[in-house]
Amino acid sequence: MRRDIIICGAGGQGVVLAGELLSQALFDEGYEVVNTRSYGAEARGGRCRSEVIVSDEEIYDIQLTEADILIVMSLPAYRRYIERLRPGGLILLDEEVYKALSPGELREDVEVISIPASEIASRLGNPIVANMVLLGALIRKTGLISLERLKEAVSRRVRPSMREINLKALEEGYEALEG
Amino acid sequence: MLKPGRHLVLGNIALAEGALRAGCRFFAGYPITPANEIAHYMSQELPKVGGYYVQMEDELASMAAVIGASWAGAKAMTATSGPGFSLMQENISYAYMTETPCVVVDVQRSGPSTGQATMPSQQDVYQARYGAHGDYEAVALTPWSVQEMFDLTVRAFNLAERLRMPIILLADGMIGHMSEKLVVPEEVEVEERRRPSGRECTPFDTDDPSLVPEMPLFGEGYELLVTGSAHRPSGRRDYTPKYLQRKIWRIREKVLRAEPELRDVVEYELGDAEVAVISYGASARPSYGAVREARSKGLKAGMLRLRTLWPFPEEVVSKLAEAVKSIIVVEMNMGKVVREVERVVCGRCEVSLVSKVGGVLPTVGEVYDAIRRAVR
Repeated sequence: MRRDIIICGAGGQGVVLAGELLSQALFDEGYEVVNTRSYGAEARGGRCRSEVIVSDEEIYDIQLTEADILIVMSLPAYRRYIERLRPGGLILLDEEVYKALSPGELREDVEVISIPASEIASRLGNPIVANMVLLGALIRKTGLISLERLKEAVSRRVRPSMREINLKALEEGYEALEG
Repeated sequence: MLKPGRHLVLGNIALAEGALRAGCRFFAGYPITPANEIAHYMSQELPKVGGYYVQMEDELASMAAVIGASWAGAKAMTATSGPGFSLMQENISYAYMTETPCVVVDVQRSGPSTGQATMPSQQDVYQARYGAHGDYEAVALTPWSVQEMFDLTVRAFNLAERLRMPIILLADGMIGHMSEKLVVPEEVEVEERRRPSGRECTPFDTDDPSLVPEMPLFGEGYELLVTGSAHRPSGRRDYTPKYLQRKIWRIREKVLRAEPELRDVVEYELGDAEVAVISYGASARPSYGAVREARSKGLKAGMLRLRTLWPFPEEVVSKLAEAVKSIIVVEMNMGKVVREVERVVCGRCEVSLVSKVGGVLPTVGEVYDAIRRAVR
């Protein structure tokens, strides 16, 4: 088993953090994990991408040119990375991005799941946790790890004042999809 | 510091962790991507273990501070990337001349110049070997994993003390900015520098077969002169040709004599191989993936991975040239190590290059295709 996952969006949306937390949870589960990040020179608003490779075996192809799963948090990121998704792959995207797409921009050969991540995050009190909503949905859809495993990794890492809202966001994302 | 055991960490953090465990107690540096996490981590951790962190005004001063700290008795390190490494070269030469143990980390990014500042390369291979002015023999280590960022940094500190010279840890932005498994051991083997045994000391020459003189420190009562100008064994400045001739001979020869212990290669499936891939650092990862794929399809491919790049392991490569039909060098530059390979192989087998620039790594597929072509 090997899954190549790209999380992409704009700087400041928690793309790198989402990749780190997902990687940590997969690592805690016992998988081999390689996590890389790439960003522009800007502190906020620039292009941002996190790659997570998870496998049962040692990982040698460490830089992704294609992915099985794409998690998209911004429209420019969608346009930049959509062609990297392998046919038959999965795209999880924020509904705000989905609504902004023109029909021609959707790929027919991949599964597209739109989650109101920004909306849920705003309702919970902070749009910054949209990344966690998408992670919750990802693990429900893929079954790679349990929700508890992911919550443990998030609890250990985020600061106490942000813990509750992040965990709630994970749960809401998890519940936004059918298992 | 991390507890012993299994962790998911960034390559740069693993490197800093290795430095701390090897006894590094002084870090001076100037910020640059993709090396920043090293300075950041050292600034947090060094004060906790009684060490010192200084952010300097630039890379020239950083290297100078590292040299000063070493002569004050601290194991010292700086970390930078290509452009900063260029600025450090003058003082790196000073460190060769004054035989100052220290570790210089270059987390290579994609150049020339500012290039792709956040993206990886292996373009500083010659800068690590020939970047500083004058005659010297360089030592550079190339980690291919987060684990080796830790392990080879420990080794770099030990070699710096053993050989009394700067050691270049030639990492790359791919491994530096990648998180994967690191197993922190309970203990690491640490070497300490050879200090004068008596009241008398000759800091800049020795009869010892290692050719590495004892190193006194400032403040211990020795009459100690440290200069980048040509000097007598005592350290006193003297331009008489014989002194510099002996000095240059000795700072090269001490490395050449140590080459068998510096030599550090890993061989994969070379037993019956007809095609050998030679690679190092991040490039070696997809290279090995390609060798495994080739083997699974019955192609007789193997790999030689260089963990010590300089001094170049001539003997190993020379033997390989006798054993295989074809050697493929894989690197993230326009072809640098391939020239060393061609020089050593000297026409005894085919040599080709898989080269990748632009901030991207060669893929398993690209290396596999090269193996398939070579087999045919």
